[in-house]
Amino acid sequence: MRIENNKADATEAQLLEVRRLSKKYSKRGKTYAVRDISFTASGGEVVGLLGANGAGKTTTLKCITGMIPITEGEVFVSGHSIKTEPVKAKSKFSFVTDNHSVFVKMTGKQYLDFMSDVYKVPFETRKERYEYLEERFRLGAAVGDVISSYSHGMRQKICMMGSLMHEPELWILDEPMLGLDPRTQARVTEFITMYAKTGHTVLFSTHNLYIAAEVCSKAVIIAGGRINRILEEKDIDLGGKRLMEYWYNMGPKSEE
Amino acid sequence: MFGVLLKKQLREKFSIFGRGRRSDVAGAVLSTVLTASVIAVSVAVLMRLAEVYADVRMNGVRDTVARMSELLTVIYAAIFVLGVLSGIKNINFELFECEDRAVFMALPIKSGTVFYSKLVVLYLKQIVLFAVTIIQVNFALAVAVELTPLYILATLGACLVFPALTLVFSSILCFPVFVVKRALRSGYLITLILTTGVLAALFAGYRFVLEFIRQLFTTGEIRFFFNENVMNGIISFTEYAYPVNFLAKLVLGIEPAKNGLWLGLTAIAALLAGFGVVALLYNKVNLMRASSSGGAKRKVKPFARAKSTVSGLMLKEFFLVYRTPSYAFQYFSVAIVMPLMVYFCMGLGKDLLTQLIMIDASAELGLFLVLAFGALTNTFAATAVSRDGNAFYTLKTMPIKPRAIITAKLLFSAIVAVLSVLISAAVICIAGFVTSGEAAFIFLIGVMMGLAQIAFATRKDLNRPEFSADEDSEVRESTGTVSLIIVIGFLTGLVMGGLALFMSVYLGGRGVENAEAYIMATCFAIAAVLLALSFRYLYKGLDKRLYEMSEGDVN
Repeated sequence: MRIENNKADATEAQLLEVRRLSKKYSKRGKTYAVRDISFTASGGEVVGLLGANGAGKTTTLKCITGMIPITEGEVFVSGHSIKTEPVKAKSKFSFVTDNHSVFVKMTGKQYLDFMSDVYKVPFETRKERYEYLEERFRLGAAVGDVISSYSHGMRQKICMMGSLMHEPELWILDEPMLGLDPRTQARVTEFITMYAKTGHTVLFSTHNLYIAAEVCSKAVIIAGGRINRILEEKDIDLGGKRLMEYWYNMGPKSEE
Repeated sequence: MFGVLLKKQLREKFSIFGRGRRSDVAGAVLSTVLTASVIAVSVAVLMRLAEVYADVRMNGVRDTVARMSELLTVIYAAIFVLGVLSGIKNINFELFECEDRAVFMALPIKSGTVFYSKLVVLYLKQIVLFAVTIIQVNFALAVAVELTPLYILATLGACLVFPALTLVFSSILCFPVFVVKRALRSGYLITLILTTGVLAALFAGYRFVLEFIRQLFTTGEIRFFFNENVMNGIISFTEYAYPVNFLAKLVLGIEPAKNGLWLGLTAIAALLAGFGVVALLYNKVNLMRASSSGGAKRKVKPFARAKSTVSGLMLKEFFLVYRTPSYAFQYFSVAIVMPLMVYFCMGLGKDLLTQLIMIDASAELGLFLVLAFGALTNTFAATAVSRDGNAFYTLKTMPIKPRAIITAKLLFSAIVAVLSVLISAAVICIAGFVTSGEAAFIFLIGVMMGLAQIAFATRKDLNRPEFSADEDSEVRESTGTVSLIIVIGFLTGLVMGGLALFMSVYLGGRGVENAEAYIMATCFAIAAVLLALSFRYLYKGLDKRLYEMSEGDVN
């Protein structure tokens, strides 16, 4: 197993703290895309951000990662504010976007090199990490091809591999299962569980309740830009039955 | 269905002032000034050429109509070639690169319907272009021919026929061009070498034309250019220059029925051939494109040595530029050809300037040329941020200081800018136009002004990036910042070169000692101030600006 056990550092202290996060896209408008979002994530947790289309999942993730500015509230990663100490905060996580916005004129290998340089992965460990991730995601010889030639699923894989080169304490993914074949979905699901077991934290958004029920230790349900409910492990359990019951009984708000 | 598609195309192509389109005032002013200047110069040149050429005698006989027919055929042939090239470019874009291509492929619309609706819009656009060109040519040549109603009518007719003919030929040729482009798709280096070679050849041709124009206006030697051999060549060419020779003769009223008939038959044959080829190949080529993998297989190489973040970012810029032909052209080819441009213009400009103001102003001219042509290289920085596309937002989630992101872009643009200025200064020094001291001065000011422009352009782009929605995020349209940089480059070149010249004349006239030192110090001071201001503009509030950048923001 290549991924280091992170449990020693990951005490009960919160790795991610989202405090009353609000986002308005229009400067003069009154409509909030998300409003008063607050939740935490600690080492070893898998947190699922669940919600219908347009509920505000992606906006929340973009605010957390500093991709878009926050209108109100705060986000702390390992105690570092994404607003005031962005470089320190960002060095603790990596983000896989849903549209795989990646530098498509690089080959897969060049992209992994680039990510290793950005996250300062020691040269000696790059090969080992790549081999470990290759075993998990199976990109094969395509890693030597230019990314613009990749299929949707292959882009997803290279984005995940790139984001994991530095073993982030917090791994953030937006709709990670979209476009993946069932076998790769199973591999990713297995990897998320294993990654959390080694003390790392995973935060991801999804529509897929089955996957959420399978891997999440916490589910943050968003509806209409606000948190509807935060479900702990015991509520999600029982093969996801409670999560699904809750979801379908949530009312029209979730289907907006 | 044809009507629906045509309406859609017209709305998209002609809504210049539509919502969501950013106004490019500098671009509009620049193109207006350039178009007006080109028209004014070409009309003057053509009028003079018509006078000179009409006077050429074959076997001692002056035959104005025959000479004008030859001249008009040669000019029409040149316009025809340019029109076909522009048509190929436009058709290739509309058919195989435009975003709506994939959508149309999946809809129950015949490929011919899509193609013809696009072709009609291209035809309308070509009419505007050809009207401007043909009307000025025909009326400039009217100094030597009689301006009859038939001449005017035929001129207007040519404005309608010419674009149609060029588009038909372009339709046929666009398929082989597409296949060649596809074959060269992953031959990045070959493409770069070819485009650079073509650009250099074009510039050499441009120099020949400029030299020809200079002779036309300044000396009477041009008459000797049209000797017996040249005239025989021109006459042979015009005999076989189908179909433009028919059009030229028709305009001049030479056997109108016969030439009109031949022109009509050629047009019909070309139309049938063109549309037949399109109907046959359009879907096949599009399917070929849709099923292409879009990139070449590469050998998996071992991991590279660890680099600093800025070096990693610069390497990322390199791959993006090297593997995108249009960027490679802007970045490498323009910079490679710049010394050649400076050298050619130096040769022409030096003589012209000496004749006009009776003093040797080589250093001042060199400074002007390096600054003006340098601006063409520096326009590359005007899309420094936009080129990243939406991946720029991914970059925002990484632990990289905004200063590092922008510095990497600045340095990457600066590499070719500095090198091309260095080579340009060295070339004009080695060619003996300027002394080594003057070359060093031109290099210093050129680099300072180049860096200032790059810093300014990069920040302008950061403030208002235009991310392409295409899959490869390629910036295909020139942004407002590009035009602005060209204008600024030209103006600063003119001001600095002009100031140096003025000081040289003024101080020289007063017998001031060390006049050169004063000139250099003044230019250096101006460049240093502009450089400092540009860097301040680039880095001021950078963290805040980058934090606030947001996709989907509405003001």
